[in-house]
Amino acid sequence: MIKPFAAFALLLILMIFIMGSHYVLFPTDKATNIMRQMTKLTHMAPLSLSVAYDESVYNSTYPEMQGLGRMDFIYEH
Amino acid sequence: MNTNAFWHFLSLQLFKERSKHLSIIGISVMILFLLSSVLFISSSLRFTLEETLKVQPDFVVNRIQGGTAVSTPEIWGDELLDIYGVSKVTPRVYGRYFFEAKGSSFLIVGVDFLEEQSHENLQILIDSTDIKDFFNGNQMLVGEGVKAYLDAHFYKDSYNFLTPKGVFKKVNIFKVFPSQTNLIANDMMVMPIDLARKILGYTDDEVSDITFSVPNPDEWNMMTDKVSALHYDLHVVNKNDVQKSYENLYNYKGGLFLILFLVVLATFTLILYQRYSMVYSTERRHIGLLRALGWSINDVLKLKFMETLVVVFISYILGVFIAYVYVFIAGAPLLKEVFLGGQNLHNTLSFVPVLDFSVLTSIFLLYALPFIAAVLIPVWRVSVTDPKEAML
Repeated sequence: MIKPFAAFALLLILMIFIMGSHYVLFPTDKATNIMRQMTKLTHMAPLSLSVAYDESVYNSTYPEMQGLGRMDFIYEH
Repeated sequence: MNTNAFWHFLSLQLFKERSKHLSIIGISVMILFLLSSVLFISSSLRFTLEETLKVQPDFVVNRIQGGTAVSTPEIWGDELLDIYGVSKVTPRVYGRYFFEAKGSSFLIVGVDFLEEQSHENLQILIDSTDIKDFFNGNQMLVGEGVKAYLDAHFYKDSYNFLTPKGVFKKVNIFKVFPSQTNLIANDMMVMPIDLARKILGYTDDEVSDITFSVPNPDEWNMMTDKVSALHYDLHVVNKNDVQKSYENLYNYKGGLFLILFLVVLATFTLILYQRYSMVYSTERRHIGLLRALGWSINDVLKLKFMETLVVVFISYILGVFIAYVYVFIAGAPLLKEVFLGGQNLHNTLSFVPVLDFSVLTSIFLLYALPFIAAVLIPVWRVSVTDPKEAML
């Protein structure tokens, strides 16, 4: 194997190592625990989405009316 | 052929024709980076939401009038408590408050801080020694997005809410939630439940909805029927419905990108196939030369297979690495707007790293197999022809 190629292979291995170290060392437990505490406090986990992406707010069939929500669950039972 | 000599020749060959390979690697890295980024964001969001779902109440009931959710009588909570198997009945008061000047909105959430559990959660979240001050006067906790927005509009320490009765209510900003909660708390204002009632226009015996838990999941369907039978205008949603809606939301967005990826990949494969099967290409002459020097068809195929495999691995590792850095270290600027939206408050969240190995393997196979096939089939067709003819 020629030198420049070997050096490039080492660089790729280094990239995998960096990715692996970040993945292992990231405080996942701490981050999820804080989210859980927040959910326990408010009893809800509403995503901080922009309202433009929350389609349930709009009634696409009758735009002047409010969204119908999920009435299907009532009628289903 | 000697293995060392083969690898030496292969690396020399790759290095010599680096400009040709670099263009292919460049396009591949771009495709793989985009797809991996989308899947990383999608799996990270799904993981975080699933974690929060574990501690969410199992059921939510509210009142429906004319197809729209209206305020729910708090007394329904007592009726729910009478049902055998129901526990942790909690009324919720929340609603959106529009900052009329710019059309942006905040989510006001009322919390009953007299509950011991809420008190403990609050202490963990804000890590403050002067928590007693929170209960003196009108105070609220806000998300980072709300704080940044209010600061930009000169509300540094407090905000004057206009209640539906036309009265101004001044509420002080006590603390800001940690940035790790930005996925759900970026646009949130948490305040005592009575204060939230006044700002949102609820009376003392009204709430937005009521939550409860049923510890035995086998009873969930039965409980939905039982609770629905309490009132005709009662609407029940259980945790599974919420989970499904989250999954649909992100599967749809991730799936859309996957379709785009497949379209781009098909085009890329066709271009590669055409390039390698061109009649007077240098590739053809090169293969003919190797055959004339005594290389067997197997040796030629092995060389081209390994050459392609190296290109595939380099592209894959580079694409995934850049996507990882972009999403989990840089916070996926621009692309996160596709998932979270950028119309309301600016959100600077950091994604929890989640590597779904089945997804990574699927990406690799989806990318590598057509790529290798597109190169090897034309190479095999040239290899089996007479070397003299191939070098023409």
